[in-house]
Amino acid sequence: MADERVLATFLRKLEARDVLSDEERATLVACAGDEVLFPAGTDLVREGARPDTSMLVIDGFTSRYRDAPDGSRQIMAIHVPGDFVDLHSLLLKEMDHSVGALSACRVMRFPHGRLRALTETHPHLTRLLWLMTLIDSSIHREWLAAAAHPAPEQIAHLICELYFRLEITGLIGADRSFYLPLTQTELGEALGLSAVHVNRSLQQLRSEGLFTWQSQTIHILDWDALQRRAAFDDRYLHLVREPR
Amino acid sequence: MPRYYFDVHDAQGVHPDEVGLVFSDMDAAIVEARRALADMTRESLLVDSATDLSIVIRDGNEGPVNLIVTMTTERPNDQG
Repeated sequence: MADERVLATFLRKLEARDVLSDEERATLVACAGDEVLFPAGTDLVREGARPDTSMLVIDGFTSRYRDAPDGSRQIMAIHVPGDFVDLHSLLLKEMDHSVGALSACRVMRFPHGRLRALTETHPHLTRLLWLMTLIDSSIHREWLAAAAHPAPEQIAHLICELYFRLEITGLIGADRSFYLPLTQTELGEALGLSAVHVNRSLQQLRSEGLFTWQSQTIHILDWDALQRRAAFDDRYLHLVREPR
Repeated sequence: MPRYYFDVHDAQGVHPDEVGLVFSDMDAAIVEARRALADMTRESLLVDSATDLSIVIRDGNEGPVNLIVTMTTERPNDQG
């Protein structure tokens, strides 16, 4: 049986947007099944699969991706610790994309039967789970809009987004640094840019003194300037705590 | 697999690649450089005034290979 500490990152995500009662927190904990570990580079779930559990990543980073017939990969989303990565499969049934581990991941599996029962007894929690998938789609919309901008702005935008998402769950260091287990090739796959272009754009951002990226750690040097560079507006992340 | 380095030459000067990327052979590295030039040319046309762009691919054993995109804006009837 899971305890509340294991779901801490997820509960913080929910509590950034609404108030949870003790009973609701206990209900979510009781819904959790077993814990599974995935090494970096493996898949949590593959396109075409029909899972009978949904996975909440407690620790680690994942990507939603599709592989094209020519061998290229498109990453459609990057997920941070505390994200419920395939809540979709509860209703969509068949996966239309894969979820891969960008780093080693610790995952909590939620059996679909328990999640379905939760939707029948807890309308407010159901709305909050619905909200999580709505925020996922809002992030997809923002990525589509950002794709029209020059590469350095796109990269700056993604760094700002990850900063806000990680900050909610307490994963930003005191010196504005955070762990990002992403290669330049993977960053290119996420932004639809060639790895060479990503490399060139990162050099430009580095020369502007906005952030450094070494040993899988992003260290933001000028947070205000970085947000201006990205023309970043956090509205799409819906970080307002209000009744839902 | 060998590691290839892609130095970019653009309006701001030369940007030497110190990280490099791994490809099966030089042909695969050239495909990647062409893709990068396509991205960068589009961006350069939107943002900068027209400038030439090139990528020099280096590795220990082969190359270098230069890929160059030339951009000109002509006004043939301009009397100056």
